[in-house]
Amino acid sequence: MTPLRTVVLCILVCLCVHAAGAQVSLHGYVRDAATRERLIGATVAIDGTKRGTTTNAFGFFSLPGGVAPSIRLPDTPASGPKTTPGITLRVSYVGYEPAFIRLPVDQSLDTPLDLDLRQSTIRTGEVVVEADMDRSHTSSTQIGVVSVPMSQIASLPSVGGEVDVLKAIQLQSGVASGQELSNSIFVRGGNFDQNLFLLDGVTVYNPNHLFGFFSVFNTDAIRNVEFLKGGMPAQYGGRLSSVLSFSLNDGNLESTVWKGGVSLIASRLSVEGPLSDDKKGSFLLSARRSYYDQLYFAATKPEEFSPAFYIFDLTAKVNYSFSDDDRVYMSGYFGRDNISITPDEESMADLFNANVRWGNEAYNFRWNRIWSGEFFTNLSIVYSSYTSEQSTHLADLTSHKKPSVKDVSAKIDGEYWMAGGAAVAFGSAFIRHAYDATAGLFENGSETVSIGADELQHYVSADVDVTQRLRLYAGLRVDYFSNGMFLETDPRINLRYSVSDDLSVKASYTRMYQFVHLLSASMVALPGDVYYPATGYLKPEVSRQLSAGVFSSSPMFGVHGVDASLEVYYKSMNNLPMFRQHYTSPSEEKIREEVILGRGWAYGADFQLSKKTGALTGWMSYSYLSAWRQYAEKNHGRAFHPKFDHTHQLSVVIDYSPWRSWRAGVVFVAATGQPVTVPRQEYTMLLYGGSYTGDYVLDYGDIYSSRLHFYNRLDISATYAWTGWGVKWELFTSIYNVYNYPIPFMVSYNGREFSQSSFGFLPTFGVNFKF
Amino acid sequence: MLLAFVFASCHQDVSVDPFPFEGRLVVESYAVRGGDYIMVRVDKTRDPIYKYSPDRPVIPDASVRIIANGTTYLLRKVPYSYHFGSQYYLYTRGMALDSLRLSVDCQSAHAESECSVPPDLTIRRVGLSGNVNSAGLYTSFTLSVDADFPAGDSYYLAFIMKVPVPTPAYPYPLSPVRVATGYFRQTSGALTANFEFEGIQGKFASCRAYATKSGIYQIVFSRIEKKYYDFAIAMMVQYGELDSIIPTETTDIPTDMRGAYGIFTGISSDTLRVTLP
Repeated sequence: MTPLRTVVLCILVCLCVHAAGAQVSLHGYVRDAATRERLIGATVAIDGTKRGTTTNAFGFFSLPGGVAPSIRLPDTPASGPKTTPGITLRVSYVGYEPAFIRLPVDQSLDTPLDLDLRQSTIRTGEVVVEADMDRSHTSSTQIGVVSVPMSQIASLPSVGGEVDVLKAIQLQSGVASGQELSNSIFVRGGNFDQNLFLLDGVTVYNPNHLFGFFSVFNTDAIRNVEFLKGGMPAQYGGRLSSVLSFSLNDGNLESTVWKGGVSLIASRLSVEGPLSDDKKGSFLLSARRSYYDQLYFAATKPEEFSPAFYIFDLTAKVNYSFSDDDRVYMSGYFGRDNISITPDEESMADLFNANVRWGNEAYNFRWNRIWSGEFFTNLSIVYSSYTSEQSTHLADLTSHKKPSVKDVSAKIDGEYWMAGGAAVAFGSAFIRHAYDATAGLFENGSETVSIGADELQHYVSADVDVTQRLRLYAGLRVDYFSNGMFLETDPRINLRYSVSDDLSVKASYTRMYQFVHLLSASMVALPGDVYYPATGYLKPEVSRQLSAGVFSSSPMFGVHGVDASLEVYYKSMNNLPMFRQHYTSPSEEKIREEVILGRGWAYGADFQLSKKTGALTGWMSYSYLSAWRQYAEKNHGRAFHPKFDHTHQLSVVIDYSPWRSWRAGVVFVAATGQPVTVPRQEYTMLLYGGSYTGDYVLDYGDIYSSRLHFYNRLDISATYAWTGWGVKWELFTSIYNVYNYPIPFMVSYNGREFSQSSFGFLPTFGVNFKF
Repeated sequence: MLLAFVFASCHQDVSVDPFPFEGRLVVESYAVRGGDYIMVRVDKTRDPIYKYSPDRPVIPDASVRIIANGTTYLLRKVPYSYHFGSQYYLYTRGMALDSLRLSVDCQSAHAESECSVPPDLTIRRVGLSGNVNSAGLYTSFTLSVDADFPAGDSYYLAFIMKVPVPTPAYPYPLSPVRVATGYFRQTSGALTANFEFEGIQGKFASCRAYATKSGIYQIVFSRIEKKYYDFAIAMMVQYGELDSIIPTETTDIPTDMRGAYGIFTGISSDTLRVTLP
């Protein structure tokens, strides 16, 4: 039986088995007690039973079917206070004190509950209880998922003082980084463009600021990040290798709060608070700007003017609840990088200048509706764009190019919880894409090709207990892409078998399609990189991934709250584009000539230990990766390791906060050197008519046939917090590459010798505040 | 400030293990209709890392043959070598420049290849208009060429402009200096192309800034084979990579030689002299 048929059959069986018996449900939201913001991924369980669930992307949960009054109440709850007859809910979330919430039997369960959690302030107490309560690591059918608490990310050492979520993701198992200091991620042998970045559900095409030195995601505005590297649920599609879903803060419903920070490269300022006295809505506004350009202007004379650079981004969100069952959200992101280049010689100033601007825009309107205790929907209207604008003035010639990709979409998602713990998710989306593709950066003679494409997406999935120990997730996704008339089906199957409460075995099969290609000849993220849709020639990229693993939440060596996992996987990828030699034109005719399609595959093992509670938190990850690419016209058709293939990679991340005032962070990374291409032969070519551009050419032989030396790095950070003048202050410092290891950024050949550009010891400091 | 931090700690010695090096034969050869000669340059590769080492291999004399219409012609070694280390072989006496085969033997190495010399090309008219900056340098110009371009299939063209006077980049007036180069693929009609000053590459066309008092320019316009077009463009792209501050994927230089690097190609060229306005 094909995977597709298996999935369809599984979904039908799930629906038939669990369609009957829907009864009174228990549903509602889990919130932060201080801010009333809703928490994503919190665990809600009925104490004394195995019934439980987690909150969805809007903090909503549902426990339908026999919660009350048909479920027998436990005589004595497993933990928590002694109770009078009723239901006790266990509610937990990383970084928050667990709560046992008593519900009297006669309470109406038809209205949404608001379950409030307090942030942990005592870091050494109640750790055992908190840690042992959260078993989503072993109980969920989801495999290959990583959820890093934002509080942990905020304490990581940083370069320039800008903490970056993507740099924290680079330290997870199964993830390789690209160029040093870049936030590019390569997941399980995939390419950088195979990652789906979602900001409040909106696709962000280019997550980079400053050529990848830090990301567009402002940590002050982010509440939650979920990273999926395998077993993706059916609602996600369009990229082969991973999903990174960032959720913005909703905004504080209780009081207006200002927070911000000043670092060596940028400053941040955010404000959030209630929209009105009835506290039915809240807002968030967060801005960030770098000031390299301002510092440079202040430190130099006008005649020494050279490249000016700055980044700017603005994030905003508003939400309002019109009734117990309806809430609307509006969120937006606008970010730009800007480089101006003017020669310092006056005689040249009129001759040449260039300006490059690029950035993302993402806007989203969403309407949540609770139709019943078991049925929740979300309607989204979305606009997303990535634009790069390059203006070059050269004597009498002017080049102005504006490659871009723009999406307008409408989407409906629904979740239905059935009696017995089955959950059904479904949805549809229509997306109108507009691609403007141009040739490379600074190339004279603008040539733009505009291509439009419509995309239809449908998915349905069911997550259900087959037996007491076996749980099945079966999903099916159908995508239609009008450019090339592609109709593709993606089956998704995840299985979880519980050996015990603390130990489970999981397996998954995932097929993903990608209808947009990133065409780039560079090895770092560039503003001029071209997003090109699938065509009759550039067929959609497709991957198939099989993964399996063992997951444990058992105490280790007497330490509670440790999640451990070992996953193995095999992933195949087809229709991966690569330039034959160079890129001159975005026309379909030229693309056929200049782009070749190949295949890739990767297999490996990911091991991860993580501790999310207590004074000492962090994780250790080890990855073994063997990634391959094969193109008929590269390396004589032989397979080769791509540039991000680190065979072995070890990361250790420690966040230690023994006291309220002090906090320390340590990051250690060691990895196999990445493959590089170095020339093997050099020879002279004069060309007909005599040499003009130079006198030697290079033969590289097989590409990526050498490796850089062993990579390792240690970063440390320290944060001191205090309160003064009614403001909470944090003074932080961090050192990147403490022992000044020559970390290779690039190996280049300048015609005389190889040179290795590398980063050394980089200290930084800054201050954060909140009031 | 970040950039200052970053770049202050850059540039260290290579830590990549070098490959064992073994020199290989390099053959660069042109059969030129219009000049009616065949020139073959024989050279050897160098170690990219240790290319200045004193034990650079000496290139021994080679046996260079052209086979045309079943007849073998032995090329004569040119006693004067223009380029260090290379050996030149030349044939100038009448030979049917059509389909040719090249055979080179040098010690134990043997290389061979074939080429087809494109048909004649005659330039009827060349239009040049330039732009001068405040320093009196031509910084860009527009070229338009009207020649007997054949209709129909794609064909490939090379444009070379030389100036017999010093330029800012090359102050020696001894021999004409190439100031502009362009490679084009045409499908029909006259050719028009923009050339810009050095450092900014257009569509495989580039030129140097040069003085306005240059007088007469020599224009060499050639019809070339596709393989030479691909070869020359790959070289330009590779030069661009080496100059780039941004690391890029590497470009291969194609070769049509069996047993050697390099190329054997046919060229039909027409040369005229013009005065730039």
